[in-house]
Amino acid sequence: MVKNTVIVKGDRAATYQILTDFSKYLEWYPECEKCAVISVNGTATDVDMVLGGMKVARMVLRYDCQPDAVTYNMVSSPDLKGFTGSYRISDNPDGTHTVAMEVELTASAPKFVTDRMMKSSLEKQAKQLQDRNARFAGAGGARPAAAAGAASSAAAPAAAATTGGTQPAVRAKRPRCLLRVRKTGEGVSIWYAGADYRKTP
Amino acid sequence: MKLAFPTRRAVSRTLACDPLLAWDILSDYAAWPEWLPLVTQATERAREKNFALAEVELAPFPGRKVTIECAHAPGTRVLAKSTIGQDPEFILDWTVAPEGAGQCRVTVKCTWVHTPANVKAAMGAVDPNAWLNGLAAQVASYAADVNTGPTDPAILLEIHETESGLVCWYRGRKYAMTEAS
Repeated sequence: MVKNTVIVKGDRAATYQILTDFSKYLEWYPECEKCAVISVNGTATDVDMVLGGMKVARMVLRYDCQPDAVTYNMVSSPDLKGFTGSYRISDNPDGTHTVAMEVELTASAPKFVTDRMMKSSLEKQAKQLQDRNARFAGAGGARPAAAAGAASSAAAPAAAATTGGTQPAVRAKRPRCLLRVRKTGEGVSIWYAGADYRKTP
Repeated sequence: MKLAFPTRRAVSRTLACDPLLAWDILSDYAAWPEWLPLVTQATERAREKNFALAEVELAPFPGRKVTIECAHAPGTRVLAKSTIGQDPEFILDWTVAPEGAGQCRVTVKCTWVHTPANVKAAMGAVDPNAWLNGLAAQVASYAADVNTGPTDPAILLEIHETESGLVCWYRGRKYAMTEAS
């Protein structure tokens, strides 16, 4: 397992958004040649990813996005035996935050070779995270996360959306029951908005 | 010096629904007034990935818009907090965890900063038990299947709201309802 940590001065929410916006991995992940979301199921997002470098590695990764950590595991790959890792975000007392990165790549190449590649990759990712976070904050892309010390450090970062952010999409409405009338021995029972009202003759 | 009294309360309840349904309801900020007694009006201003910005009007403070920042981890957590400098200051931290087949455990942790100016109005409204009651009622409204209709023959009438309009099941037959005016 190759590890690296980076202290990011910018906003924690911005870092989280960078890490979970898979469609933009091409813009900052050094060896990324393709990153497309296949499916989203709860906290899990399956991503079709191609990493370049010494040899092209195609894989499907499953990312699990929790408020303070993004972990990933390889689901399938014709080129690799394994690819797992994580990004863990923690707050620092001075207002900065730390991103602890780790990755384990298993391939047919010797381990010292793959470890060296991953070490270089994590170093580049660390630099990119710092730079991208700074640009993100400069562009007004994220808002301050903490609210007068009330939010717990484990809390998810505050909303990155701003008045200039993405307009909310119209949510698909699930069908739902509004009213139900049931015949009972004594009369009828009317269910409305989660509460029962009984009507007797 | 600002006088403030932060209070924290946490309440949990098991709901008879899939965790994703509970999370869907919790993260639909614009629909909060339908079930959350604390909120009378809500507008989602922006949403991107796991973040959203919404404007809400709270029951104890009619006419006052409060901007909230929301972060949601799909299927497991929804955290909403008033932005810095707002009155009232609060954080609603909802967590959803699976609990057996077809059930989930919803916990709401509320941090509310009482000030002399808002304490009287807010006292009755900060009631996490009532919020979970509302959520349970909302969850129950999604339990019925609009396609198959009621399975209990004692049910005479059911009206469902769907994307394509209102649908009515009356004595085992399905009718599409149209707006008359």
